[in-house]
Amino acid sequence: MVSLYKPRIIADFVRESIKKTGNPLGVQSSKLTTWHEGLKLSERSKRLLFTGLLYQLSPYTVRITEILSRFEESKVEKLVERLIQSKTLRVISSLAPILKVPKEEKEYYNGIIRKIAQILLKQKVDFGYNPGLDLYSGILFYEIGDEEGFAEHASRVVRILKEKGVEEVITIDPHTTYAFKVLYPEYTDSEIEVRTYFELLDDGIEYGKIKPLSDVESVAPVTLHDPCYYGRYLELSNVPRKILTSLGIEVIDVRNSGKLTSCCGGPVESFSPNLSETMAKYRAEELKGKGCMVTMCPICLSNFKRVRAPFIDFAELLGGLYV
Amino acid sequence: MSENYFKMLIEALERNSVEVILSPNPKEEAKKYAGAVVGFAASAAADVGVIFFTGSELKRSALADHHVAVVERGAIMPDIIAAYRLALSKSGKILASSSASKTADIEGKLVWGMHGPRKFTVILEAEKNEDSASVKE
Amino acid sequence: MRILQALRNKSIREGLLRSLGNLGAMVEENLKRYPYLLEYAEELKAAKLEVARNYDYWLDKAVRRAEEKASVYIAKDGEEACRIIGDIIGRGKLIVKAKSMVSEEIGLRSYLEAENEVWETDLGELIIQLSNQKPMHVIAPAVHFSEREVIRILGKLGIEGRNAEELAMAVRNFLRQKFLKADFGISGCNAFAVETARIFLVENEGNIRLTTSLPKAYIAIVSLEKLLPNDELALKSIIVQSAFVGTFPPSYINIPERDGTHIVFLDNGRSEVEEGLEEQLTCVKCGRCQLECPVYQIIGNVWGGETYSGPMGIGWSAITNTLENSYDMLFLCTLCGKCEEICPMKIDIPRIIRHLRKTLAISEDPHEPPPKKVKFFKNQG
Repeated sequence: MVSLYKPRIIADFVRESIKKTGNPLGVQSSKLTTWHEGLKLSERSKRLLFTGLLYQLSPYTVRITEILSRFEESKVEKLVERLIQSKTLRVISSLAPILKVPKEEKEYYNGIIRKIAQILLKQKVDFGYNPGLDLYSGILFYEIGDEEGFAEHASRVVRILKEKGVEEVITIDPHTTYAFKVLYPEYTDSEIEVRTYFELLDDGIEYGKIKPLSDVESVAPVTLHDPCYYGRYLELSNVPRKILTSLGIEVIDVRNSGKLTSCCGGPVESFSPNLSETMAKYRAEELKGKGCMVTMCPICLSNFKRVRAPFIDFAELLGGLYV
Repeated sequence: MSENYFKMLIEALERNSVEVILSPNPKEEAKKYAGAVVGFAASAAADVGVIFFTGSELKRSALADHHVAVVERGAIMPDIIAAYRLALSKSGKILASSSASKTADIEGKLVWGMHGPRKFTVILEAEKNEDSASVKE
Repeated sequence: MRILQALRNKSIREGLLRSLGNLGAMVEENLKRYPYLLEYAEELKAAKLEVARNYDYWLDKAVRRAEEKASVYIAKDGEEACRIIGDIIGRGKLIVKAKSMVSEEIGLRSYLEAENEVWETDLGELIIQLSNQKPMHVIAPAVHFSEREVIRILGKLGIEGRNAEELAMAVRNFLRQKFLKADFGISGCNAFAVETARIFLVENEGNIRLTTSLPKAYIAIVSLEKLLPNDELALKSIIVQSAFVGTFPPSYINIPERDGTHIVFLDNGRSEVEEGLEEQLTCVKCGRCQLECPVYQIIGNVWGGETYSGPMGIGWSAITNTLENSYDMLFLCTLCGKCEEICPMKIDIPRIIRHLRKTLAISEDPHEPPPKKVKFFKNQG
């Protein structure tokens, strides 16, 4: 008999949290959109940086997964499940204090987003940010098979963005990107343009604008863990490689990269956190010794960090180079 | 049959770890294999090295320790589908072999002669001046 | 086995990765050397979908052609198939079996063992039979056992050997006697050409050749998804299957044509797949998705249904109604999409899994009535 945290319970929790707070973990939304303070980004731009909240949610996911991991298949597993179902947790804005997410963790993930914004500013990309319009894409609905729930959520997001005159979004993670590029046009009447931040940088390279500010010689070769949505579904894996190569950084690839990339295990973290960890460990082992290990997805990044594999985000690497 | 297919077949058979003997008179050559079960190929697929036989060869060859196939030049076809068609034109009952019997079911270790022949030899009809070395060049 | 137990069992991963290492490189080499394989695969998928749209028509035709040379039976489900085969065989007989996933699916071996002597003759499957487990992989069933464990398992039969080679030879000698005395040989079918009623089987060990030819009578189980219009497509199907397994060309191609042949056509859910699962019927069961799946590589057949496991196993288990703990099981998939990427038929397995997450969420909800199964393909052709 296979045993895992009951998907129905997890799915109900996610659904309810989104209904109450707009995000799948039930964290107060205002806490997730503070990263831009001091950057003076326009709220009225037609082209908005759209984080989709996943980077900001990562430190919370990590804490929750740590707890789930500890009790998986233990005597109290059922108790944990009941807790997830309980009414107290469903008033979920109370979740954050219980979890005691370390401040530096939150700052770390916020810092990655800041780096992305700073890189774009440096490249003279014209964009703005409106915390009120930075929403969760709803892709978990789609992934758990609730297509109607997804269509409903996605339509709401599209309507809100349209009402505010948003014409284009710049995404920063693969899940939100896939939702906007592939799913939204299919499930809603969205005509919103979507580009990832690194596609915009790629444009910069083609126009000869991008230049490394720090000493590239000192940067070791890099090995990229392609997130599944970028590498396989969206076939974007050549873009970050092009950027790195044009900056003079060597990229060393394993067989399982690009379209053949191997999953980090992140998506099963709440059903079987131990399986998820083991997947991350093996994937990290596969990439070890090739170069500086880099990924570009908050779910991959936090899952790798959970097993203490020394990954950094693509934006951290670029930020270190020329911000 | 082009010269090309002949060479292709030799290469494919060698990839399949099959012993290849070239002989201008393969039937005569086959007589040297007294202890083996000798069969005449209905056709051969050059690109992959699959040899078709008619059904009359079935039980004898399946139980053999050493299976020897005589392949005449006219029996060589470019691929499995063409070889299948040629074999079928000779008999309604056909089968095919491409190597000795083998297994890798224990720790992936390759063992020859699991249930069928431990060795598979193909005697190919060659021109008088052809030997393995000259053909492969 | 539970998940954490499977995580600790390193031999699953070692075995699967060893197979992937051996076979995966061969697959890539095959594709490079024989570019037509991809064209065959594409053509095959279209043909299989076309046949699946109209199984009634093709089955009827297959039965009529097969009746010209064999005794023919149609089994609605596994239970009926076992009963039919049990009736053909009777009791107290010696039976040799080729490895067949369909026979696993219907529980044929244990059904027959009650009143007969039954031997699996594929080395890996014999090890599975003796260890009372389910196959770890569709092609390499005993991949998770070490040589040392195999020595212990085969020792139960008095078969002795110090290493793989000696063990294989001892099994050869042991089973050779069974082949020579067997009353019945039973096999599945890799592809069935309707036009000629020919059964196509590929293998490397030579046990299928012996199973189908030596015993006094021969029974073939042909599940509906194996039906293809003609010989050429059936050939292409076995070519694609073995090329994507990694053992190409197969050591043997068998097309048994003999007296005393019984053909049992098996439906078991295939003609009534629900909308959204139809693509699974084009699967050639090469098992490549099992080897490449990052979840399967770790927990193996703990993830899946009673018979079929891993990415392809979810769809097959759903079709054949053997998906245990169904809804929960679906959530061990990360939707990473590697299976679709490396599948010769390009089956969108993540879509199938999402689809089942939707339909099973409804059907397993105590407050909702289960959705009706519709005969999706009926009369479209």
